[in-house]
Amino acid sequence: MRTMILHVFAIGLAAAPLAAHAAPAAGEASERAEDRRTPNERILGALALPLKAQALRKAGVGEGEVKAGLTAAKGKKLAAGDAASLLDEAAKATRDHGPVDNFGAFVQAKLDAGLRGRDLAAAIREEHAARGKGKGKSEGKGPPEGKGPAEAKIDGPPHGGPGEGKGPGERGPDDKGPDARGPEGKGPDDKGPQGKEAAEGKAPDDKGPNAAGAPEGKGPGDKEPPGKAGPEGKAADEKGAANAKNGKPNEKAKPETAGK
Amino acid sequence: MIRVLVPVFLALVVACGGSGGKVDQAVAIAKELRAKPDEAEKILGAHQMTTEQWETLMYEIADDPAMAEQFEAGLQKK
Repeated sequence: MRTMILHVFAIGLAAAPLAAHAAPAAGEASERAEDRRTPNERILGALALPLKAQALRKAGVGEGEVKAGLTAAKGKKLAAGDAASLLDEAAKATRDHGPVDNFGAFVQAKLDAGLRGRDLAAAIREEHAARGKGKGKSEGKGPPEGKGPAEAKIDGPPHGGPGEGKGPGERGPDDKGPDARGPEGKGPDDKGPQGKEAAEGKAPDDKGPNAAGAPEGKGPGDKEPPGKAGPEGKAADEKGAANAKNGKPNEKAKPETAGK
Repeated sequence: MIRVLVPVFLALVVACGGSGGKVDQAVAIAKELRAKPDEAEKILGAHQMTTEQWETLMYEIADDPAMAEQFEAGLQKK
């Protein structure tokens, strides 16, 4: 019995230093990667930092968040080239999934946790995928001039025309409000038809028949509830999508004329 | 009153000129670096700058939207 206890104790003593070394291994690995970089690589990598910071700003991330991210990176003595990669990844993720709240705090937390390089990039991607505020939401999160994330992500025709080829599974008749825009690649461009409609003298109330009637193939005379197409006259797009679904391009004309 | 305003004005001029000068210098170096990436260290040396100082300058420019924009625009100019 004593022998066994001694053996276990000896094994424990031997294993303790190994376990202690295993924990910071990930952080060390990225630090080693940084060390391996030649001065030329560091210098050239740093050159991209202001450009990537600008790209992140243009992608729609707030100035405070950009600054916080940079401060976190600088505070952790991250090489400027690594910080540039970080911001680049964040800009891409923002374009794809929309900005996240507290980007700076998130970066700080991940850096505190020892993440660097690819691990940090992956964490940023995941965070944006999970908590990104969608593309092209009109809550002032996106780029003000309609540049950046929302547009960059739009796949195919932006106005949901019949040629989009999107199946009914992608977009139900329940498309409501601003949320209906982002994930399907609809961004600030959605406002195109609005302006058009406004120019044509259409009232925002036109949304009723356009938004709700068309998907079920009902004419404007049908008393369909207007749904939640949104007060900004998103009807044109809703209608377009609905037509795309049903493959009934002719119905597109009906609600429009009715709305006028 | 003038005694107070003059130093303030001068300080502002120096501050504005300082950041502009920094960006101009950074753009000049960056262009050289892009032209001859293999000689990056040598180029910085010619500008009496270390790698660390260059990184610090890049952080400083990145942190300031106006400077970053100026830097970006400067690099795009031929």
